[in-house]
Amino acid sequence: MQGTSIELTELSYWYEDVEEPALRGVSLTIPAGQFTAVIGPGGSGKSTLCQLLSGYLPRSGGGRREGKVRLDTIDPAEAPIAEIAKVAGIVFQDPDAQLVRGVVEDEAAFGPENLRVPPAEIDSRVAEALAAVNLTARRRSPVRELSGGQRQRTAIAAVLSLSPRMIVFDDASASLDPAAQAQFVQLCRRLHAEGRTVVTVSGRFDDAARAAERVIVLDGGAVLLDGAPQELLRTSRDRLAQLGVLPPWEGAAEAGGPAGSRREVPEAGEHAAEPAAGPLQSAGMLTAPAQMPPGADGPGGDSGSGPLLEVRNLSYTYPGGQEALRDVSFAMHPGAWGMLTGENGSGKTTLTRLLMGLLPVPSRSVYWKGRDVSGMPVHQLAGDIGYVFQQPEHQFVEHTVWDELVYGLRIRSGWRRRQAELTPEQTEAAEALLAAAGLSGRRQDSPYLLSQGEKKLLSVIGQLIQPKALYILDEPTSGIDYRAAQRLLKLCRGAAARGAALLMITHDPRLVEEDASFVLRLDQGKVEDYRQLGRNHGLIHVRS
Amino acid sequence: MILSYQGGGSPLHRIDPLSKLVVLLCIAVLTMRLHTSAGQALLLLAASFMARTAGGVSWRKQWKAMAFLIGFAVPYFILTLLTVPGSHTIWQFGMLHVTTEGADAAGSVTLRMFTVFLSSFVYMVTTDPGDLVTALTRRMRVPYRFAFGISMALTFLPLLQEEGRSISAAHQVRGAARPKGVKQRLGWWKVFVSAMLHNAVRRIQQTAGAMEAKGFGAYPERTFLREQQPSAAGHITAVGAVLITAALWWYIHIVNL
Amino acid sequence: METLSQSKRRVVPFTTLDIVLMAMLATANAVLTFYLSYINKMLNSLGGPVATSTIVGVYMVYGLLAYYIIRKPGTAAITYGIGGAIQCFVGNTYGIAASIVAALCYLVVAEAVFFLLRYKRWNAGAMMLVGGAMVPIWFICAANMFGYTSWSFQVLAITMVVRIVSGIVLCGLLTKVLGDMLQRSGLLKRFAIGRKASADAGNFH
Ligand SMILES: Nc1ncnc2c1ncn2[C@@H]1O[C@H](COP(=O)(O)OP(=O)(O)OP(=O)(O)O)[C@@H](O)[C@H]1O
Ligand SMILES: Nc1ncnc2c1ncn2[C@@H]1O[C@H](COP(=O)(O)OP(=O)(O)OP(=O)(O)O)[C@@H](O)[C@H]1O
Ligand SMILES: [Mg+2]
Ligand SMILES: [Mg+2]
Repeated sequence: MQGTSIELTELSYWYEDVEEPALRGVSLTIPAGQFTAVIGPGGSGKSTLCQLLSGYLPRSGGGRREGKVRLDTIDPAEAPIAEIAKVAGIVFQDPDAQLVRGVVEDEAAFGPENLRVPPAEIDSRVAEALAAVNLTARRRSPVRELSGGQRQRTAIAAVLSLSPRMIVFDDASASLDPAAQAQFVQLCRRLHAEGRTVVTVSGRFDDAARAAERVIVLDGGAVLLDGAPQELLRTSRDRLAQLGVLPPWEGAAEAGGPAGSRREVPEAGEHAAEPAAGPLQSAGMLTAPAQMPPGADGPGGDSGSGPLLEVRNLSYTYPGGQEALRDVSFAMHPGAWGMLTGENGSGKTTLTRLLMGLLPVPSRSVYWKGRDVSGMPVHQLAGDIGYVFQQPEHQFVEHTVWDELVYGLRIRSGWRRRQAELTPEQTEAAEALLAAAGLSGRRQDSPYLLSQGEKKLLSVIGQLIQPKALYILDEPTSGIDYRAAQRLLKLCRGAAARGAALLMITHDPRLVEEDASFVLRLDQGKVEDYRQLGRNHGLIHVRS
Repeated sequence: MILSYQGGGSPLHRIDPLSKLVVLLCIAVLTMRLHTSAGQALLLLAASFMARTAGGVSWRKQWKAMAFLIGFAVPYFILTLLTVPGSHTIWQFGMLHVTTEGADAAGSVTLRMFTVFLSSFVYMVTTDPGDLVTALTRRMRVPYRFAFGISMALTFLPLLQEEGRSISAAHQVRGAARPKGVKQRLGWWKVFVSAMLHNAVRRIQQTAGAMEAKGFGAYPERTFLREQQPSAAGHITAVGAVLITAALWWYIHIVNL
Repeated sequence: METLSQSKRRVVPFTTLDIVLMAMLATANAVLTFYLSYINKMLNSLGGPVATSTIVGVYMVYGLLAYYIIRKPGTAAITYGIGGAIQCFVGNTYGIAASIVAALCYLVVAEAVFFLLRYKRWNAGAMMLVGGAMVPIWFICAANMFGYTSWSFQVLAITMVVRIVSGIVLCGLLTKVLGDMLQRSGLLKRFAIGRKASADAGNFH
């Protein structure tokens, strides 16, 4: 086994047509067989680093690279493809951008096939890789019929089957459910024990980082800290908390302080953005459906007015025959804050897509303000309900960040009446939101050129900018650092303070549960748990 | 739906795609060789019978597939009926002549359409696209990177449809209503097509990058996880089809079908 | 296919990106063919095969567009090859045999003409020439396959002319227009067409 696995010397990188480098003078040596975690806030250059390691940058992605990169003995920008594929396997951040074959099993077989592995061995590698991510049952499924988390698992399996000496996971556990995240850490440990070089990348000081031998903290494209995880936690806890990579229950991520990210903006705008998120809703606005549908063990209590949203015995089966939901019932009142949890593939996204009318809703199962939404056009519901997709790209409709943000404001009626000019208040609110998301400097950029976390933030503020009665957010906090998550939650609290209801899908219940008024947990399409949460009374244990 | 492959265990499912393609081409050649309606009708019957027995395609499914073609076939039939020159008039109305020759030709070209369509349909239903790619690289020695284009294209097919749906959903979720009137529709199409193009080009770049990251193109050849073994039955069928076609070619000349 | 490209003066290898682009264009064509068959049906009942001939050019655009963008010898061979092959799995009213034969006719002509042009001319005239030239051979094959041969000579001649015009305008000219539009949007920076004209490329985003 060679001595070093990754060696970077004064590595800088500039994206095409961008003046500021995304990486500036990074020098690192990672010995073979080490288990390293690279962490850093959103936009700090983690994914850029991964793409440089894979050779995708600058080979296919363009841009300018300076400095030296060595993987084992090769330079990924110049080495033949076969060499790179044998040395390094890289799981990229966005599963949709790396799945190429369309069927789970073919996806996992693709790499070894290219490397001329004999069929019998491919077969066993595929079986092993799929088992490692718990996807064996979906072996023949088309990728487009998988849930977000299942796609991410597929992407992991597709690289595992390559059996590379060095493996890099770029935020590969962001959309996994808590059990799968634990399993992912086990997987990293096992790969490490096999003698492979393992690098995990994430915006948070997560369990993988705690399990690693070494943690490298990136900020603004440069290495900020480098050391053993326990040591860093002991000596630099404040720094880490300031960056927002520590969870609020450990390091007061709210501490704020001088901004870490280079595109940080003055905090001033942030306050203008939100009406003071004062005491949460008055008791009268709280949850509790008027009539509980039979069979649902819902939160008790009663309030006079009818529910905003009511779901009665909703079942849904996809055209291919995959049953996604069965007999789901719950209700939401104005000002309620629901937390929707459950394993990958348990039907959370399906449920919210149905609520939004993005899938054909069976009649007499979903009621919006007492009206059956079945057959109601989406744009009509959109007047009342804001919806944030799990994949932010699915939401983008414009060519610049600014246009993307104010798109909804410009629409008055009909198809894109562009004439609607923004009022000064609207412009101000938009500026403030942009600042709160840390995107002020990016308004003329294409939304597609943002980092994954920045995309997510943009997609959320694009909805929050419009006053709605209900916001549905599909995993708004996945893949972003804790500070960004806190800001986002603050914006949500602002919306809640205005009286809006929120339904939030999440795999990070601990981040949200203090604000949530009820939790709905799905298990294989059925309601497993549905109960009211006490406000601000500390942590509630949610099974993981 | 556009893609119609359905797994199954019928004899046709088990024959390799290239041998099946030979049979398909033989049928096409025969449709060109036969000139009379009677001959074409016999061929169609034979093809339909084969689809039922060897391909396991039920009569109902065959009928449903062919019904798609009727809108095409009827106008074509009438047109040929009225335009093909002939001497034995059987019906006349002003300028319009219907002759026996015309009727025969019209029947022949129309039935031919059905035969060609049905045989193609059966091929689609019984052939796994992946097998064709393997067969092309293994037996026709087509470089795999090019043959793989076929399987990429088939992967893109549902993706493009999904993409279209997703673009329209994005606008609606943001509050844009369905366009009304010509001007709005044109505006909508402009935005839609431009989004499709951008997404397609982005998808191309991402896919190419991801494929290379997994070693695509590393070596001049590659292995395949699932590989349909060329069966003796396939070869026999293909050779048999060619021989029968050759014999019929000659026979048709004698009996003048 | 490789031999085709090797026989040319300079062998420029195809990148994965090129191949994926060709696959995408072939896919777009398959989708287009599927939906065009409804328009075709309408035209067919209005004016029979002469009327349907007006749009034949559109079916050939994908390969020519690929050539216009990639500009490497052998592009048409691979693109039409992929396009013909996926017609085996995507329904159309003409059947598989016709689709394959059509693709073969197109690819032979396109490769031959671009060879004669030495891969140097990419102006509207050249594109229209190729668009028109791809028509006749396939028309002769089609006439035999679909039984057009029983029509009178005049009808055949008119159909042929209509098709050639369609090839020149709806294939050649349309390809040029589409290609230039894409190139202006800056989407094709990584292909030959983008590099050639990168000087005047407007900035995208
Ligand atoms: N293709 C691109 N063109 C221009 N700028 C880009 C491009 N991709 C990323 N950037 C910018 O480069 C910076 C670093 O991005 P990168 O994706 O590496 O961040 P990251 O650390 O992975 O963030 P996240 O945790 O959100 O994924 C960001 O400011 C991002 O907006
Ligand atoms: N378009 C589709 N066609 C068929 N089945 C689908 C489709 N989309 C999702 N499914 C299936 O429906 C089930 C529920 O999927 P859904 O996306 O709702 O899960 P989820 O709870 O959001 O999971 P995740 O946490 O991974 O996002 C899964 O088993 C999935 O495979
Ligand atoms: Mg990233
Ligand atoms: Mg989901």
